[in-house]
Amino acid sequence: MKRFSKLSIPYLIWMSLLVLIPIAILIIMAFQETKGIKIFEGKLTFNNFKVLVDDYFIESLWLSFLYSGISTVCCIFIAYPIAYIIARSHFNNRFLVLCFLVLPMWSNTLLRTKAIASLFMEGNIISSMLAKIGLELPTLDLYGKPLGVIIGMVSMYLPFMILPIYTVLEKIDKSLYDASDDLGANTFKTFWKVTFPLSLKGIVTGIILVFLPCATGFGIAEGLGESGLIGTFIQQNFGNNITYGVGALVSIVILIIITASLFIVGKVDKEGETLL
Amino acid sequence: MKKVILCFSILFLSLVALTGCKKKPKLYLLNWNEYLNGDLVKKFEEQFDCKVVQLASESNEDMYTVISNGQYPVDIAIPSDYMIQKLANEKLLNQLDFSKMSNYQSDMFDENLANLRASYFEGNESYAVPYFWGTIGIMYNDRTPGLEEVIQQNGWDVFFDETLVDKNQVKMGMYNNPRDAIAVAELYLGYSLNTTNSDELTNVQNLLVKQNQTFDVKYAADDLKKWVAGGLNLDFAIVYSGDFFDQLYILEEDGSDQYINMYVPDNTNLYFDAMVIPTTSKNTDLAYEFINFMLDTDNIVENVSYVGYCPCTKLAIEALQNDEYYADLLEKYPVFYPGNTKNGEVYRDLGDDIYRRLTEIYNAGRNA
Repeated sequence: MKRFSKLSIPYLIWMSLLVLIPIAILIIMAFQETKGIKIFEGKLTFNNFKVLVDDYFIESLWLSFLYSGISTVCCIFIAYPIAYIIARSHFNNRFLVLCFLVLPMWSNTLLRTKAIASLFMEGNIISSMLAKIGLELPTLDLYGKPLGVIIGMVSMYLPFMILPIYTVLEKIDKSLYDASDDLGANTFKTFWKVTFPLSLKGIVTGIILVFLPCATGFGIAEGLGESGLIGTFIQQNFGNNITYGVGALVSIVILIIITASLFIVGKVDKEGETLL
Repeated sequence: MKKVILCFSILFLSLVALTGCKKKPKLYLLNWNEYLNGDLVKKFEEQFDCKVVQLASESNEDMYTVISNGQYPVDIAIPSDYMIQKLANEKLLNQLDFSKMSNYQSDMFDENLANLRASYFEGNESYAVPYFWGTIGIMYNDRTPGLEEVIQQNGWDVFFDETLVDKNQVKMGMYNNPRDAIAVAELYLGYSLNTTNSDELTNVQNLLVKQNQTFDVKYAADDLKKWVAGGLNLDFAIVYSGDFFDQLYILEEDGSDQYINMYVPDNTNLYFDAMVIPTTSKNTDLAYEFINFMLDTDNIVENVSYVGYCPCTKLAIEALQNDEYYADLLEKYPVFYPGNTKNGEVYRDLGDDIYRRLTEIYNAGRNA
């Protein structure tokens, strides 16, 4: 084993260069009021911490969690049946089916956001095609509306929910179903007592993969016309306001929230079966 | 041992190869998107045997952070008026040596622009050479009948007054950056665009909140002009004059019959973007050559065909007037020439505390 440990050196260098040092810089910046990145010139100050009691900050943090919470729940309800059907199906090529589900993930996020945004507006590609065959349907005016943002988030992150659930469902020993059958449980009871408990780990992984990027992301919400979320708040501090310190502090706070939640997941999940 | 030698020789060879690429001098240009004709870049590169590295920026504040952080050895930046003031105040700009630019004459710029600059912060002429200038105005289409007359008679009021337009029918667009969104409200209320009075700013905030609660308002950047030109999703929006002409050229090229026009009320925001040499510059001589190159009338005219803003020099404007297409355009769309504006106000640098307040006002309005 020792011979291989040297192989981790590049990874460690990579991690410290691109993860640890930037976080250290963020922490230093959180205690300074410099414009731009000038970590050695600024003076120590706690002024940035005022933002933590700012109404707008609290509101946008709450709104972010609300949006991503709803999106995550929607993802679970959509992803679970899909994953279940694929895992239990007798397709010869289940991998291919999965590929089709994951395919949109391979195209650019920004492009997909723009495409969804244009679907929420009048004169979009669907309504203009329908108009050509004489169908005049009212357009969904969802740009900038909460429902639109949630639809965007769900469609963007759905594959991240399907994959882990599918993986755990696939791994379930088929003989367990037979045993449940033999013991007289009907299909529903088998699902509820056998399949579902065994697939919880996949759901937890999916929640982590969906909830966190939804809560902290910037591009999707902004691209769909919603600017009251925490991602935009951070962007504004690095953009128009040029208050890097405040932006850094807010990023750190979110980082702490995320780390804490992962820590809790780790505590609950002692066997480490969550696909982290 | 052989392997080590092989590794070193590969490393050495690749270093040689890399330095071979570096021989050409590089000009780092910090510019807005689609704000420079690519043909001119090629021409400049050939003429001076150099490589122009274009750094794209989306806002003046972006430019500020790039320059003040010193991430790149920026040789030329093209920020707007108020950012030039801020950069100059913080001693991030070089004073220009005009003797190094053979095309430069102090009286070469359009009179109205020259007056504007003379009234601006002291010494601004010694830091910057104007690139383009423009105004903000109301771009509209003919989706809602009768709207054109209402806009031309009432100007900025159409953004806020529900007695003028049917709030269930019209859709309006606002720029998604604090300063321009707030400017619309300030122009409506008759305040200065540079006001720092807290009562006035509170009124602005209340007005923007009420606007968003009353009307169908969409906040966006480049999409605004596309949506107005699409003729379905917006009736009118605040746009920069250059954006309007950009879109007009596109519609003309596509042969579209969608009607769009732009109205600039008497009181509006006037701005000029200008070339500056930040203190980060390493290739200053090449930077001067670039400014000089961009002052050549033929080059300016070539750039105008791509950009959509009004040029700054008298000769270039004259050249446009003698061109059949542009003479027609100038007559049909007088807003092309910002000098026609009666009461234009330039943004000034207001200080960081006010910018934070402006973002607050903007957030309150946009998320209302």
